[in-house]
Amino acid sequence: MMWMALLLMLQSAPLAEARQAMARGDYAAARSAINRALAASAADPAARFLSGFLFYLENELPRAITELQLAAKLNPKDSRARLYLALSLESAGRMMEAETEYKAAVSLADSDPKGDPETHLAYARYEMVTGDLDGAAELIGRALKIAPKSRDAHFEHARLLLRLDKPQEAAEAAATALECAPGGIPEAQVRYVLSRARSLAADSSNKR
Amino acid sequence: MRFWPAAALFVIAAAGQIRFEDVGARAGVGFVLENGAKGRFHQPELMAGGIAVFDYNNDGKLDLYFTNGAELPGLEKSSPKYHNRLYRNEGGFKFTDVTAEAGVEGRGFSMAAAVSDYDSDGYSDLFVAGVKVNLLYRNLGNGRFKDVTAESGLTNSSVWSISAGFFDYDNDGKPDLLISNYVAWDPVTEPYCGPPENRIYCHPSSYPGLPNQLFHNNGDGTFTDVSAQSGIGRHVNKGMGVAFGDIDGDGAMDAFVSNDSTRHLLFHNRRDGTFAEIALEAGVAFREDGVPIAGMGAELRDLDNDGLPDLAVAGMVNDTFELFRNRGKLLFEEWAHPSGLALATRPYTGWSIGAFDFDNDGFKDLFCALSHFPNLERYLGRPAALSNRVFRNIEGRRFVEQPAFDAPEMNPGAGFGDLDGDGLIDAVVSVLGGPAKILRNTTPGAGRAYVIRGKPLGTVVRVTLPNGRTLTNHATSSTGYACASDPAIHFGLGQHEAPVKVEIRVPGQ
Repeated sequence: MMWMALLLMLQSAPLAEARQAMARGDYAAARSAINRALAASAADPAARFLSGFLFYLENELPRAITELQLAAKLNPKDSRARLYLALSLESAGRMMEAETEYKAAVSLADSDPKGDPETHLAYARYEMVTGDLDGAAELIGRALKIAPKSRDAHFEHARLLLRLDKPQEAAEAAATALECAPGGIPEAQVRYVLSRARSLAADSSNKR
Repeated sequence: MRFWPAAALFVIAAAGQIRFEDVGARAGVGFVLENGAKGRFHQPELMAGGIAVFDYNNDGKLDLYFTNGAELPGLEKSSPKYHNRLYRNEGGFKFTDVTAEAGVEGRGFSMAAAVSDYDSDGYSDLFVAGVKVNLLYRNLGNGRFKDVTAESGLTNSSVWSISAGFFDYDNDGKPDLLISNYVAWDPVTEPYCGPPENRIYCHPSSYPGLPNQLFHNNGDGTFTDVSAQSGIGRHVNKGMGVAFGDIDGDGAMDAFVSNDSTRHLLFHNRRDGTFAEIALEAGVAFREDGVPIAGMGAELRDLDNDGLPDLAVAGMVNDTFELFRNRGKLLFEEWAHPSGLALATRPYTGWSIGAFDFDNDGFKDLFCALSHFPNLERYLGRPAALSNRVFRNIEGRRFVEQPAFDAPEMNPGAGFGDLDGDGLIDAVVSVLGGPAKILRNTTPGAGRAYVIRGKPLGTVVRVTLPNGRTLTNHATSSTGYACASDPAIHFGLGQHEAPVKVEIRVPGQ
């Protein structure tokens, strides 16, 4: 047992180093640490995921896709690998493949008891781009159930309501987003959507 | 003597897909856009490619002017391959290079071309914006131009001007000049971006922004810098395309400046010599989710035939292009997604953009000059060269991508006008490192056209068709990114013979 714990520590040390380097924006140091981890174990799914994720952050889409496909194969239950694979495919313009991966990611995320709405929201953003507003509404609804106080979920809800020409309700959703703790969406974006929704609501009400 | 009548009708057959044929190879236009790139990734290399489509000799046929780059980092036109070029239209899609006799080779690294008869002598003059060198060429009316930059007050020796457009902001009958400035750039301090083995062009965030400039036309051949007192110069961003239109129908032209990865600027004309910047309040400062896009060319034209100019802005791959519908009362709503333009443009990087009714069906379509940035293939996983695209306007409700009609190239600039007088709007596209494209509009079954020429910039025309539909357009020579187009006011009438009513509102009258 002790040997196994030590082995795990040795394997994860470079990955911890990579994560720290990524957090401070030092992608070169992160890449070096990830390469060390992969040299030690090319089949380490966590290292492979980080490698793909770093390529995604660096906008190297073809390499991100290759690495994330491998990470997903190594750990078929890793919803993050499927999510970032979907995001990479979408950025590369491979929309149909992206949709397949989004579906897989959401399915895996649904079975995760920790409950993270980010996968649902990413797929919802994709659905809003492709014009499937019903699909987006369903995903945002699920994200709000998982995390009722998620600023990002309320923000996407506000965007969706604007698309549905419901500016008053969109303003309310954006205002709720602002009351939530900060998420991944910068506050300035939330305030812009709130401002747009209020202007359009006022204009609609004047027209009536 | 103008070849065109003041208003002209053209008879053409029934509606189909919008099509163009590249006749550049046999047109005698040998222009090749040279950006001076030598592997040092100087930012101006990315941005060259301005075009002007205008009638410099008043023979009724639209001529072509191309801006060109320069040797870098010296910014010198060290060889004729860097000269700007003027081509005279001989008719029948044949052009002759008249650059030397006209005296418009240019100086420095040229970016954009703007056109207007600034001295009201009946001949169109040329303004060339560039990197630390701007030029005003006065058309002498005898086939020659004179460089009058110094005496005009438009000298620039310090900033990188990237687009420019003439518009009469104070309705005094004399076209004024708005110059969009990009970033503070110095070849000596050019940053290195990308990994050691694959240098790429830096993101604009690597450079400080610049304020734009407004010059008032004094009517005596000189201009006065009114950037500060007008409010135009108060905003420091990274300017790209400029577009003009009367967004609230108050009789005064407003101005829009797209910006690269910073928020856009919409200048509402207060009609007292000042402008209020209202992009945030109007809802056009950012994409619908509050994110700034890499804004490129812009167009302010009425796309849904409600009488008010709407706004289209080209962007970079995965940005989606922006489209905003003008609701009136200085308020715009997001239209890119519901119209289908957002999804259709997501794979593309757009530069110049033109809103013209290419099939004369009564709705203005969008032509986009496309190409990804060079050296980004590794990141994008696809070639940088692209074919240009037209997005056809279906009844003012949605935009449908038309099939490609030209070879994939690096296409930054696009100017527009009816080059052969057949009533169909043709396109001219600059190509980085390759011959310019002369795209003859061959749309089968296009409708009839109704064209009004010779009106001052800012003139708004509304025509009513026999079925009661009204179409609105206005005179502007400023198009897309760094380009000027024929300011003729063009309408597609569909199958109608002629409008039943024509209302013309000339600014200041």
